[in-house]
Amino acid sequence: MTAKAPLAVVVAVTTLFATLTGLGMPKPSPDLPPLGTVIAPLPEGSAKGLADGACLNCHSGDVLRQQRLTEKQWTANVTKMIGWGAEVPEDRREELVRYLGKNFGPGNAAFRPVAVRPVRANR
Amino acid sequence: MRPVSEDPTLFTRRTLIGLGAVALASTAVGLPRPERRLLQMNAYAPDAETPLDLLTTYITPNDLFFVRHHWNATPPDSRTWKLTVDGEVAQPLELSLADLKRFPRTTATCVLQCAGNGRSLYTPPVPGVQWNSGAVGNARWAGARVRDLLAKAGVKGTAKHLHTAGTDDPPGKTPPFHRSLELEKALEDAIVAWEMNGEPLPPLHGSPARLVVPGWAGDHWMKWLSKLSPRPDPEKGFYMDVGYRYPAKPGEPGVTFKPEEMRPITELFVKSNITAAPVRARVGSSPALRTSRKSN
Repeated sequence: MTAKAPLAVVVAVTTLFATLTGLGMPKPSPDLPPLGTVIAPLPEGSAKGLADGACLNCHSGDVLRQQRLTEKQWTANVTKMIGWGAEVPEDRREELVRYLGKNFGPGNAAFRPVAVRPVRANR
Repeated sequence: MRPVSEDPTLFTRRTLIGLGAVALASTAVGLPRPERRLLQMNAYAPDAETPLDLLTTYITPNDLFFVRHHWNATPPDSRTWKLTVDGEVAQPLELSLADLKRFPRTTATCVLQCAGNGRSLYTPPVPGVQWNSGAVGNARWAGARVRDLLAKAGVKGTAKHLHTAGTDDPPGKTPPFHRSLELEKALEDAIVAWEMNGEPLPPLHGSPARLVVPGWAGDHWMKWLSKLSPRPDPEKGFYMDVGYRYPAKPGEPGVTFKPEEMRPITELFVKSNITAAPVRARVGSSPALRTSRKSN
């Protein structure tokens, strides 16, 4: 630590270091939900039902909500997923892309993952 | 049930000072410390990463080890499970778990890291699970050497690639996760592992047995392993020809590469995580810790 470091930083770093190294592993909380039990809904919109039906059979909305993709990227992904079996009527494909691009575009806020219980060794 | 969110943002000066203050306060009054937990990246198929503040031990405990699936998988029954060894071999084999355990046991302590770990840090963003820093862990794996299994089957000189498959079937028209890796690498040090950190391999991590490919990215570590087939040519399909490839040479951010400019991901790149504040650390204005001088 340099002599110029502000006192607050010295205190912060020292206490953080002491906490992380000196006090051992924290205990699990029984209050945390198990992995897979918190299912966040997709945002409202005219294409929500379409997205629910097309996307959520195989994966949760988490993987949509964490994306920050342009409409061009969404078009490519929707095309890929239709090829893999996602059911999207041809005349509603653009509507789905717009919904995904609007809600999960480049300006989408950083994803905040839910903290879940550690997974028991032989679940 | 208490849903708890957390911000995956890296340390900033403000959060560090805040953490320090919280640490000081919680130490003083005996409040609970940060919980043992995983961070859910996908409710189903299950994906979860290890929080950086829990990646502080040399061995990552099994219950804190990151979880990754392409789709929901039903692990096979270990009592009826068989590993098939076929392809360019003199004598195809069908091995039960008991058969497998009769081969010489070997162990390897090595890092398993998802090929996409750190994807959320890319600019511009790319599609896929937006892992922060925790799709990585270190475990002690035990099992049989691929080398010994293939020697027993009598692998032929014509074989150059080891094709691998697991028991998990994809949904709909999703392509199967069939893979291959260079036979030379598999013969060098790959293991068919049934044990992880001294416990039977957990179902979420590929029980009863998975491939362990030391030093190589997780896409090669086939879970719920059901087949090893040495063959002259590499496997084909989406997860070989499109997925799990990096550009052969660096390019401008956001520029799309031609397929012939891409290479399969093999060895892990060196990555470092700061999981506890380093000695002589100084906090700068960027959202990362910087050391004030070289320590020696």
